[in-house]
Amino acid sequence: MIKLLCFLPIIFFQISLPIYGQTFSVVQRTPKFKAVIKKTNLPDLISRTHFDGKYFKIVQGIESSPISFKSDKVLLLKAATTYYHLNVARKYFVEVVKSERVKNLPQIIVRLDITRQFFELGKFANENLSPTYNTAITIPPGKGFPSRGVGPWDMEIWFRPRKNIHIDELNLRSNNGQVDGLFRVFREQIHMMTFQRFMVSLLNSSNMQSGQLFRSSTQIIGASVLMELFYQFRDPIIKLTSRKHFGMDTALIPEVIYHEFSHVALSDTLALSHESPINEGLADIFSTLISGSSKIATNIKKYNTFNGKKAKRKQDYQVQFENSNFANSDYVLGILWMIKSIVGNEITPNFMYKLSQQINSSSDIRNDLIKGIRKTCDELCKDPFSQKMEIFKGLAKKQM
Amino acid sequence: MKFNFKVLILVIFITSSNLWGQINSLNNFQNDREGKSAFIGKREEKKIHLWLNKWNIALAEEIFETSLKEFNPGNICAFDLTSLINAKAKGFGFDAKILFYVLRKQNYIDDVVLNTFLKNLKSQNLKLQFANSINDYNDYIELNDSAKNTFTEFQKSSKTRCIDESYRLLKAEIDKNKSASRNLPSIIIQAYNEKIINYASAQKLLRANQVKLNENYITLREYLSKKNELRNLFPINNQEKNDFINKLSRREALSPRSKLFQKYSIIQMTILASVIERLAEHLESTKIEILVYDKQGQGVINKIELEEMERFRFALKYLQKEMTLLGTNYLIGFKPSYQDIIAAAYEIGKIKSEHVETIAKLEVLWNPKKTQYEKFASLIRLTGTVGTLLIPPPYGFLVALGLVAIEMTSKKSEKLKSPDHSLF
Repeated sequence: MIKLLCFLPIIFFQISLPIYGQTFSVVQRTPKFKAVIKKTNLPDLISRTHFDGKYFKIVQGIESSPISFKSDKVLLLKAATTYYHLNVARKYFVEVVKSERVKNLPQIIVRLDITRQFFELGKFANENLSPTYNTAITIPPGKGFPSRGVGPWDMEIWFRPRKNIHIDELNLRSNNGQVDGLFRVFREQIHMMTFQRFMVSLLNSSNMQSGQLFRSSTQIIGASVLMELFYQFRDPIIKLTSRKHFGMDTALIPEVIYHEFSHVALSDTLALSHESPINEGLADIFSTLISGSSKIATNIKKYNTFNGKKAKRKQDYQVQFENSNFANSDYVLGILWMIKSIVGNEITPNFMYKLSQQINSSSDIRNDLIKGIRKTCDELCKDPFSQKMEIFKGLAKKQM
Repeated sequence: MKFNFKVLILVIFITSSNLWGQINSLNNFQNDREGKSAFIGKREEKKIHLWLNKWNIALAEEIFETSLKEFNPGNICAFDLTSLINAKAKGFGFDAKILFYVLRKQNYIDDVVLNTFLKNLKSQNLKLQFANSINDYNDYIELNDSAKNTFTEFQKSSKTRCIDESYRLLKAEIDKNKSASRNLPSIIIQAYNEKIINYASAQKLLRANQVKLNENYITLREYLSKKNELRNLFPINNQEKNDFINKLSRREALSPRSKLFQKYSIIQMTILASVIERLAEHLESTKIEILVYDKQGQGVINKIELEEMERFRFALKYLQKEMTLLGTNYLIGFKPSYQDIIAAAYEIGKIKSEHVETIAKLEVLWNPKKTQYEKFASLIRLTGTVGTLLIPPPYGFLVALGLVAIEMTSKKSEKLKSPDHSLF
C-alpha cells in the first residue's frame, strides 16, 4: 500500500504531462513552400495512445473514439498532419489575432475520411446519399433530433477522402480561353502573312517562270492550310496535353486545414450554414496568413492534382463571382491579399478579423465587402485616407 | 451656383481688404511648404558639407540678412540681391552658389527663390559672347519705332525696375515681331550703338537673354507678394513639407509649385484648390444618391444610392469634368493640369502633405502611363507585320509567333472605364 502511495505522484505526473518524446510524420511546408514529410512533436495531446488533444480530437469517419497511434501509416499521416496544423492555426488566432473566442473554444471533433454528406437535422446524412470526396467542410453546431436518438453536436471539421475523378465528370468551367485566344491570334497572323506573301508573289509573277510561281504559291498557301488544320484540331490537342484527373487529399494539405479552422474561428459572424464567396475568401486569407504564402494547395501535386488558389492571380471582377457556385474562386482572396500589401503585415491579421465582424455570410462582394473594408480601414489604418484611396484604386483596376 | 457664389465672395474679400501685400520680414523667404530641394543632389550635398566644415551657418545667415537689409522689403530685385551676395561671397573667397545651396538646405529659402538666385547668378557669371565685341559691332540693323520706344522705356525704368522684370516686358514686346525676336542680341547691340540704352543695360539684357531669364522664371517681387498674400488669406498652422510639390518635371525642369506661382493668380489658385477640396469630400463621402423626378419635376420616381465603387468613380469623373470646365469658366485660356490643382490645394493648405502623393497617383486611372515594355510592344506591333514579309520563309512565322506572344503578354494601359455592372 505504501509502495503504491509512493508511485501515485509519479503515475499522476506521467498522466498529466503532455505527450513528449513520441514524434509523428507530418506533411509540412519548407520556407520555399515545398511539401515535405517531417518528424514532429504534437502539442497538447492528452492521450498517450490516441489523437485526443486538449483542443482537437481526430476521429475516422463517423466514429466517436479518436484514431489510435497504431493505425495504418496513411491514416496516421493524415491524423498527425491535421492535428498538428489545426494547432498551428489555433495558436495563430489566439496569439496573433488575439481572439478570446478561439481561446475559449471547447475541444473540436475532426473527422477524417468521411464520405457521408452533412445533414442539418441528424449530422450524418443517410448512407444511400451519394458519398462526397476531395473536399473539406466545417459543419455548424446542431440541436440534434431527440425523437430519432440524435443528440446535439458542436462544430466539427470534416476532411473527405481522396478519389480520382475524371475531369469530364466534374463539368468544370473551361479554363482554356487564354490558350484558345493564343491560337486564334496566331492563326490570324499566319493567314495575314501568307496572304500578303501571295499578293507580293502575284505582283512579281511577270519576272518568274511558270513553275517557280506555282511552287512559291503552293508553299505559301500550304502554310495557311497547315495552320488551319492545327487550329481546327486544337481541342483534342489541348485535351491530350492537359490534366485528366482531379483528386485532393484535403487532410494532407496544410493550407486547407488552416482554411477550415479559419471557418471555425470566424463562425461567430460568418455562419457555417452556407458557402459564400465572402466566407471562403476570408477563410482563404487567414489560411495564407498562417502559412505565410500567397498560394493555397499548390506545389503539392502528390496530394492535389487541381490548380489550387493563388492570391496574386490577376483577374477582373465578374458579377458571377457573387454567386455561391463561384464561392471557391480566388477573386476575394486576391482583393484581401491586395489589402494586406496596402495596410501592412502588422495590421493585417487584426484588419481581417475586424472586417469579418463588419460583414456576414449573406454579404456581397461589390457593396458589403467594400463597405466593410472602408469601415475597417477608417478604424485601423495608419493613414486611412491614403490607404483607402490605394485600396479603391486597386479595386478599380480589378474592374470592381 | 454654390461654387460661383463662393468665388464671388472670395474676389470681394481679396480686393476689398487690400491684402496686396507688403513683404514684411525675412520669414517670407523661409521654406514652409517644400520638401527636399530638387536642386541639391549628392554632389551639392558634398559641397554643402565641405562649406559647413570650413565656415558655419551663421555666416550664411549673416550675409543673406545683411544683404536683404539693403532693399526695400516690398521691392527686392533678385538680380541686385544676387549680385550683392555674390560680391560678399567672393570677399570671403567662396562661390555664392554654395551659399545659396546652404541657405536652401537650412530652409532659409525655398526652391522657387533658389532657382531665381541661381538663374541670376548664372547670368552674372556668364562669359558673354557679345560683351567683348560690343564696341566693335559694325553690322547695321534698323530699329523700327516700336523697338526704339521699347528700349527707351527699358532705359527709363532701369533704375526703378529690376532687370528680370524689365527684360520680361521687353522680351514680350520684341516677341511680337518674329524676326526681331530671333535677332534679339543684335537688336540690343544696335540699341546700344544708337545710344538708346547704356552699356550696363546692354550687358544686363544680353546676359538675361542668354540664360533665358523669361523662361520658367518668376520674379522675386511677384513670388514673395503672392506668397505673402496667400499666407494672409490662408494661414498655415503647421509647417508641412512635401517632396512631390517641388520635384522638377523632365520636360520643363519646373516644379509643380514654381509653375503654380508663375502661371496663376491668387484667385485662380483658390479656384484650383477648391477642385481638389471637393474631390477629397466626394472621395470620403459615405452616401451619394441620384434622384429621378417625374415629368412635372415634382415627385421623385426613383432614388438610386450609389455603391462604394460607383461613388469612387463618380468622384473621379466629377473631377475630370471640373478640370475640363475650368478652362471655360474661370480660367479662360488656361488648361490646368492635375498637378496644378494639387499644387494649389497643398499650397493653400486644403490637403495634407501626406495625402498629396496619394491624390496625385489617382491620375493613373484616367491617364495611364505606358511602361517600357508596352512602348516596346507597340513598336514591334507596328513593324512586325512588315517583318513577316521581309523575313524569308520559313522564318517569317517566327515573327508572327513573336507578335502573338506580345499580343498575349502585354496588357494595354487602359483609361478608367466604368464596368457594365456599375453606373459610373
